[in-house]
Amino acid sequence: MSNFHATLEPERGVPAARSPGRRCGARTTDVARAQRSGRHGYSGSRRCSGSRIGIGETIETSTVLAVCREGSWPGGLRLPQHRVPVYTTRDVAQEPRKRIPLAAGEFTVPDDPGQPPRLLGTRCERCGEQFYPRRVVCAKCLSEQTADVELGPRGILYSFTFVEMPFFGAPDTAPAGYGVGQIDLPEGPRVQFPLAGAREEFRVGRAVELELDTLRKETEHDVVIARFRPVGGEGNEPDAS
Amino acid sequence: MNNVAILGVGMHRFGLWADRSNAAMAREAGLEALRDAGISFADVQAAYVGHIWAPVTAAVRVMKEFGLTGIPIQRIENASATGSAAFREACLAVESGRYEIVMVLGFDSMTRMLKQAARGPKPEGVEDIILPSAFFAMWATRRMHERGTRPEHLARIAVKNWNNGALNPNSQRQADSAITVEKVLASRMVAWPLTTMMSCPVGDGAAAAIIARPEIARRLQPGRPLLRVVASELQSERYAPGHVFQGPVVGPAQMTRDAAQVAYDEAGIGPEDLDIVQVHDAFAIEELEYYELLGFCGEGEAEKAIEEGWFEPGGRTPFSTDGGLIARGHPGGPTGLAQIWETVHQLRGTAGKRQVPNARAALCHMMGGGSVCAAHVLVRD
Repeated sequence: MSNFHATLEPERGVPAARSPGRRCGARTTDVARAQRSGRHGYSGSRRCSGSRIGIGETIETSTVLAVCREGSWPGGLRLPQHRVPVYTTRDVAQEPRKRIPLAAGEFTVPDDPGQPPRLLGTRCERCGEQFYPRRVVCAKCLSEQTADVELGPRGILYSFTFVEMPFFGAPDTAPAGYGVGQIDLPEGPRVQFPLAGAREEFRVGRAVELELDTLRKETEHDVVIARFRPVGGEGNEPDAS
Repeated sequence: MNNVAILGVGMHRFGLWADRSNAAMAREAGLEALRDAGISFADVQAAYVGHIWAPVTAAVRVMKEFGLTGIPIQRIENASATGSAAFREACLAVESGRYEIVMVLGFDSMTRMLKQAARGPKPEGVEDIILPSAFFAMWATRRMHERGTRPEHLARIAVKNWNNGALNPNSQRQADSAITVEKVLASRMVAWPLTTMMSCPVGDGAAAAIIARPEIARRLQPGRPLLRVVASELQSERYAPGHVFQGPVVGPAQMTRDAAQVAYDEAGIGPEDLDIVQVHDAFAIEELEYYELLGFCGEGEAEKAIEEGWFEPGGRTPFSTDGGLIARGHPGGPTGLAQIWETVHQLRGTAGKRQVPNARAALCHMMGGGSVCAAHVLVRD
């Protein structure tokens, strides 16, 4: 069995530049995001940006968000400890910090941090059109018979750009700038959101998934925003150019 | 629209005028328009004033620069289309017969606005960080994906507008040497693929126009050609799938197509009859899209038209002859009226080095965030 790779981003939203920054760069097909409890409840696919860790080393699970391996995830395997100094050292047993959305009424904040958020939308009961953000009157048929729905978290990137300015004027979060995209949701609406991930990953037609990122930490809670991040696989339409 | 003529125009050059008040810039533009019209402020029966950034009451207070005559003064705001929307209200007021002579005034100081904004609270919503540049950059990315547009196409539009601006004494950006595609592409990236030189600058300024019934124009200005406003259209968005509700700027392409068509129908002309066009080229990709949406080339033909110089000076239909928003500037309130200023001079044949020979019919198009689209057709009889 070969080596494991682990991303050492301590907490989402904490500047990646301050993490140990040893990149293995391997393209991985399976990523398991370690929960604070030590279990891995989330899987997706993304480029590993963490360090190479040898078998037998142990990883401080409270500080590791993703553990990956070329090949399949070995279920039930004990996470190896690793010796690279990490950014946070919070106790594994500690309760997850409360997460508060930057603005209310836009997206869900699941209790389980391994679950992706969903967008708070509206469905017209008369014509079936769906909308984001929430509204009372259907913009298409003008009916007031509308109902709350949750949309996403997956979508297809319709277009994107990369803004050459610090994100929210906060150089820590994205010093070089930030991506912005328009995303077509399978339910119909086209939404406009900041993008997470590196600019090279953005491509028209690419599948993206909504995630919560910590914008800032306050005493009692973390303030989170929703961003779409490119994910591999399905729904990627070919480039016309 | 049958009974609306333009008597006079005036403008305070757009630029970074941190030391000049809105009142000072507006006074200069308004007095010039009154002189150009050959009337006194006592003849003005109503005023329509556009500004975005100045505080409430600014319209009425700034108008005191011309004297206190008790006339109705109405402030109008419609984002980038503020000046165009104020112009439209003035035209409608004259067309209706309620007033014979009215004034339109637009002013704004973005430098003052930014100075105040820097003292205020930081951006607190995701909408605040999705800037107009990002929104229009996404138009460009999509266009590149669908049509194979290259940054060079966008740069050529910027080059044209910068070089037009250098010939306009009221243009904010006046490069002292010819601007090239390489220079535009090498300028700082704002939101990929848009660079600073493909984007309009921050600026301040004012512009004004005097609108009257045509018989008044004939009586007051017997030696001058009669310039009439023959179509005025303002549209907001019609819902269609793919509509984006968030962000400071939206504006589905169809709105421009529809607004232009209504204006063409009202004027009884088509794009082939127009000699010059001013558009909302806040970002170069917009002007590219408007070539098609306004009917000056077929769908998917804009890139070829750019390569062949259709919209450059001496081309089929010159666009953004005064430098457009990219070079002439875009303070906000006065922008739509700067288009009127340029169009009036072109139709009169007084546009100097940038004169389009024998220009007789012109289109002024503006977008406003939110969003709206304004279209006016002006003709010389």
